[in-house]
Amino acid sequence: MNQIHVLDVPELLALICSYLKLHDYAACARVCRHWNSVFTALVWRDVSITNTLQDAAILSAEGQQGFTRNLPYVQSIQIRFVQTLDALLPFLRPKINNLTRFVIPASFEYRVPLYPKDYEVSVHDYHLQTIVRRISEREDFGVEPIGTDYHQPLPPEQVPIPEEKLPLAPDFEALKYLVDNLAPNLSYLGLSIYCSATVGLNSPWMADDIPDASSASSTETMASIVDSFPASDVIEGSGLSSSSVGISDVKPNKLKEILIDGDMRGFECGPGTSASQQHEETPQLALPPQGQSLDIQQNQVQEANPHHFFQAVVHQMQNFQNGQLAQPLRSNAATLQRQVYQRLATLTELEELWVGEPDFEQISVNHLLMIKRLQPTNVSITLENASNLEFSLNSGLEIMAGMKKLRVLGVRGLRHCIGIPELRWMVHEWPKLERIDGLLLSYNEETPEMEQWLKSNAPFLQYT
Amino acid sequence: MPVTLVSLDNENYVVDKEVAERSILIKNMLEDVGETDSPIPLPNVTSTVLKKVIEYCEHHRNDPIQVPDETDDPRKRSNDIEEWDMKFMQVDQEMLFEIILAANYLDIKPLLDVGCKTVANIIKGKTPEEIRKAFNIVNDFTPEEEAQIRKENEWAEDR
Repeated sequence: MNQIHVLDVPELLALICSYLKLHDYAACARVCRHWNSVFTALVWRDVSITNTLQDAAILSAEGQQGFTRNLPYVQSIQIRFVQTLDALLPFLRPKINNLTRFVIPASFEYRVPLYPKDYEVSVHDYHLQTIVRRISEREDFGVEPIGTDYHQPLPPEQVPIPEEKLPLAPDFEALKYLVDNLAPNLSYLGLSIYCSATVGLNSPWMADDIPDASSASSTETMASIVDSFPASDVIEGSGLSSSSVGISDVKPNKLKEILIDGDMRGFECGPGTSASQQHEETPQLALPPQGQSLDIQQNQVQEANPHHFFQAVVHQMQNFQNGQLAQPLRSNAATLQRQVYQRLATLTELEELWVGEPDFEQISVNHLLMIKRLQPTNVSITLENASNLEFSLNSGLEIMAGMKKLRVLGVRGLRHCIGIPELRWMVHEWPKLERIDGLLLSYNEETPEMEQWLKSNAPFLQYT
Repeated sequence: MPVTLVSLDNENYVVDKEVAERSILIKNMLEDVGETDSPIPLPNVTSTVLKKVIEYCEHHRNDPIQVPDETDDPRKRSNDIEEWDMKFMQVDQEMLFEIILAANYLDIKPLLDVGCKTVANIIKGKTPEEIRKAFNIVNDFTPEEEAQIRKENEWAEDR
């Protein structure tokens, strides 16, 4: 009977459990009623659903039952798939105020079909690594020397050559949606957002679903493909399971509008999920006025492959970046950005905010290697941000003045516009701020001045 | 200077002060009281357990005092028990738990850690049935109840 005494002393129980792993808790919870009463709370304290088997388990009837039953014990949640979040969020809502940690990937994700046919790579695998790394970084943070770049440098042979980059389209609709559902007293918000990749689109498996349009010229190519899209704008089973690109109101030579699907808010949508459920709030990405031709590079359509359609869209998004798109889009982006700030500003207890895609270099490389192997010639992929959180005063940074507890801001991978005025503002408004991850951008000419400013005005601030 | 410790069952044990002071409880007591010859009663510890604890403290009398770790790593390792401690902990479970409780009461952190690690190592990687066997616990679940719990917690099982 003595073991019961030991387990009944909370400090001793905690000490013993600190040497155990989650699956040990689960085993202990099935030993007997007494142990169950002790260990169930530990099983459910940190709910971390990070692989497909776990997803299946928690989404089963019993799994959901377990989740609702044990909700009072839940302190921290990490979820990776949209189905899981959708399934659990309703139960979570009344409880969410008690959470201390919430990690959800908001990345735009779909599965990339590869050779052989039955082998799939999920872009999200990389995100998982990111999350895991984020967490371990957070734990190691205390011992990390200032200024260390812990993201591994790429071996020279893996550095992508300039014209072969991946389209990574950040999307703060995702953030907006998610923050809407978050608790105001969260202390850690980890979003591994903003990655899309149009890889593997030329695999035979994909080609089966998309009609051939081999004879058309550039715009017509797009248009005919567009016409052939199912009205639902979801290509079931095509591998683009979350319908990365939706099209509306497109006629041959009259391309007016391309909807970049609201789903770009992220997550993997499995085969069972109706993509249409998530199509509300679709942000409209207006294309140039009629008559203005789409800037599709000739070399991309020379083979007139239907998949160039996607590349065309990607290029369109670049044009947006380059300032070639209609004004409404730009102001729309600014509005969205402010909305995101407003929502973030409600998280007044937040201590760590991780946005951006910290590992996009790594993703690019991994995928590039994959693409290179699969289709050595027909790749033209570009790293571009179609939308962004600038974190600049011009874009409404001051909205977030209330986030007084913020200690860590992670913006790696975002094309933010943080400069000296923003830093001055942050140091002033966020008294606890001690670290900015991803502050230094390779293309920012102000970097030396910024570092100098930080050195003399905010020496306590760590940054990379 | 020797110190006299008195167990629950009124056995007296005379030990060196530096041995006794492995126990933070006793150390604090001695500091409060100052120099004294009067025996220190330990009403929560039986003589068999106290003997064991003294054996541990004698062996570790020269160890540096453990500094409490502020940045406690949540996932600690339990496979780093030194050999002497491992042997020392090869006792029946009743005694193991008694030692843990005594170490907790007497505030001997290294002994407490070793004890808890030993318990954790018994549990680690085992199935519920194996854990029951290890601790001689009767399964008071119906098969249906146990199956239900298994399914509810399935996401947490090893994968």
